[in-house]
Amino acid sequence: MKLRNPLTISLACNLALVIALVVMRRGSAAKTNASPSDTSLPATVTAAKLSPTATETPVPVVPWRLIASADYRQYVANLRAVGCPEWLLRDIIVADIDDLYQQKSRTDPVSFAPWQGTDQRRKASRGRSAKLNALRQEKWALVKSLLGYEWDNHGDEVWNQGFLTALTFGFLPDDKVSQVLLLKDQYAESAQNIREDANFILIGEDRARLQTLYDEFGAEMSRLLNPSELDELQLRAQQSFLIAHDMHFDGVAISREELRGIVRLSKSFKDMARDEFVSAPPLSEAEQARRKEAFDAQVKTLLGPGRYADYQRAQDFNFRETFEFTQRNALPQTAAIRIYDARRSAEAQSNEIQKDGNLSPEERAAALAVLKAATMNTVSSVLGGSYHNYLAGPGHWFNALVQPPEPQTGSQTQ
Amino acid sequence: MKTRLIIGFSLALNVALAAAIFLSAKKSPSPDHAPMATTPVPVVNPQSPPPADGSLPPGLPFRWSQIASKDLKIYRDHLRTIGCPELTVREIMRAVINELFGPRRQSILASFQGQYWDMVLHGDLVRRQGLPQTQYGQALSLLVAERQQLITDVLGQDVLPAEFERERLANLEQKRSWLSPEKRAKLMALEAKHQQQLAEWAESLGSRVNGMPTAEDQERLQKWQQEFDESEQQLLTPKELDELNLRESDVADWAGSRPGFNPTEDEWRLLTGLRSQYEESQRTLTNPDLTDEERMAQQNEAQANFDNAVKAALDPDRLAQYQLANNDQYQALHNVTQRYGLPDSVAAQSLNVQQTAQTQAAQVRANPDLSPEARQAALNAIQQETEQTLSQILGPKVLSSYKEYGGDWIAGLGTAE
Repeated sequence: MKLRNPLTISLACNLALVIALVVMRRGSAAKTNASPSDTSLPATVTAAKLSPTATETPVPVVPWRLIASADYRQYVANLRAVGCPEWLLRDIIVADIDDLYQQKSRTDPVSFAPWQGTDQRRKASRGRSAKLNALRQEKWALVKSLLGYEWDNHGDEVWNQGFLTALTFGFLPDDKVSQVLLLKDQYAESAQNIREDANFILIGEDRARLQTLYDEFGAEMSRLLNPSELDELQLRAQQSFLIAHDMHFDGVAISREELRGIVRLSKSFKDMARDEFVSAPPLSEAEQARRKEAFDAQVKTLLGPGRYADYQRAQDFNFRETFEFTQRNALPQTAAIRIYDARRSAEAQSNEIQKDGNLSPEERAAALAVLKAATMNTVSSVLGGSYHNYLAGPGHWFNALVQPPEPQTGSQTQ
Repeated sequence: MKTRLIIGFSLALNVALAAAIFLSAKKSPSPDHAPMATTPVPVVNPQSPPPADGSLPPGLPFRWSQIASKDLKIYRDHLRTIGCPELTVREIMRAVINELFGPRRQSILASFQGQYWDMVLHGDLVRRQGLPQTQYGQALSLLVAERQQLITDVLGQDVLPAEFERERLANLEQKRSWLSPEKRAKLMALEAKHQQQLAEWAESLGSRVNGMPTAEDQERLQKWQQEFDESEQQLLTPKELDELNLRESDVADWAGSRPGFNPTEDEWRLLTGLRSQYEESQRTLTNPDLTDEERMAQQNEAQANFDNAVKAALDPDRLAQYQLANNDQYQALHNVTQRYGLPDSVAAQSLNVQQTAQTQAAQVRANPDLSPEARQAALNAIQQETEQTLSQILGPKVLSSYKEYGGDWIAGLGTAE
């Protein structure tokens, strides 16, 4: 009897385990055979079977609908499960989400009765903008929750935004470019909302909000980029200062590092990215002059007196015009400088002669003619064979030496 | 002894069965093994038809590498064959192509990074139009063209984004919500057909050498216009047609650019009708037989008629508001005062100050008896006084904003031009 009980228990266990095993095997078999048409994909799909010309061959069966899912988490999981590369998975999911949100944002277009005035229309537009903004925020949050980071399919954008964008961002890895552009878009949108809310009349509190937003943007950028990447990007954004202030360096011996140094200094004059972002009010003339003076002094210190003089010369269009001519004609830089000096000297003398009240008109004309001939002679000796091309091009100023000054139009004359 | 042997065998069998169950369970791939976000994402794409089972069947003998191919047309066809939606096919192929060209682009960009600051130095970035002609620009242009060609080869010509058209139609639909949905749909279909005819007409002209329409072309155009007008008249009642013409006329939108004046529906109808008449009268001015004097006279008459009709249509208070809303100087003031939540009367009061100051300054400038110094002094005094008055009306803070947004005329008062 003692032995009978263990035997019964053991036999019962045998039975239970056998049933469990059979149920499991059946379940597994049922799962595998649940949709044979869905899973009878050959182990290897050869290119020949799926080649574009072989359209009449039997359709291989791993329907996309088994991979795609209305639940994005599942969609991601499925793509990962079949070994879709992570970068492609990301683009597929984000494109799908883009499409979804594009459709969502299509509903309820804003419209007004034609008698609705500006204020009512503005209110309705802002309501719609707020709704679209909320959708965009939701989209970005969804992408982040799925991928673990924020992402926008900026690939095409980087390609198509033009040579300057590609060149400016080209020092960063592609992934970072996309993220920087996304961050830029996000913050630009938030800034635009502030401006629109203020009906583009920005008062102190609006600018304070914009400044806070800009600081947050800076902090996010610092997290995304390493210090040297951030520094380079900021300098590249700031280089537009040179364009905005019409600064030139023709004929100035300056290294890349020195140029970067000047761009860095210019930030204390006008911080291009910040001022644009916060819509900084224009500076008063006095403040503008004060900052320019301080900046010029810093540039002078950086370049030293000699090269600073060269830099000042480069700001004169007349020099740049001659410099470009000498460059095109493979002449040394000294040629441009000599011509420029000759021109300045001749123009100063011409002014003196024109103003000299002791000269009769004939004497004045004769003096100017002598000055012109002498100057042309100097320039000819500098340019040699290129002299005639110079006369046909930038050499137009010789004639101005002998022309009487234009009568001054006083503010009193009608 | 026999019983013990049976027990022993039974126990061994238990162990074997338990092991079999364990191994069997271990063999089944769990779809849950794929990494998933830890926080629940409630968003589900309602456009996507859900598969019968959300997760992939276990043991599916399929890998992405089986559909991926170096031959992008094959890759594309694999995707189409497994029923991948066309939009997704395009996205995948674009992503693959971007990935393919990425290293080459990076290599071009990297090789020019050292020259970035040289380009800044030489002003290359100022002359943006010249960038494609630089060595860098040419290298990138070639690659961009090659990439675009590959996209076209694989996906065909890029279809123009239909998003704008969709948005236009949705807006139109909303704008015409006063019409019944059926009539709206029919009207839009009529318009689409007419647009198509016009596009074909323009295209047929464009394909000719001189591109000029013949008498036959004109006749065809008129016939289509007539057909369209007749169909429209059949579809809509006369009242509906009048309403459509009024709401969608060129002058219908005037209320959207008159801050501070919110017309009632009746006011809008009246004034829009008057504006339409005025516009109509402007068309007669293009008659080439008119002399300049006749044209000027007719223009003045039309303007006077319009102004008088508006005066007759609005009561004095509303007329005053309407006139202010048409005044650019008032608009600038209104925008700033509204930003600070000040009543419209403050803007109106400030406008009076502006008009008085500008009249005074004009008189001083035109006065031939004043010496330049006396003129300048008088103008400075007007400027100073105006600034003080405005500061009292608006307050220093609002005045400061106004100077930034439209108040630059204050500084201009002091100039003797």
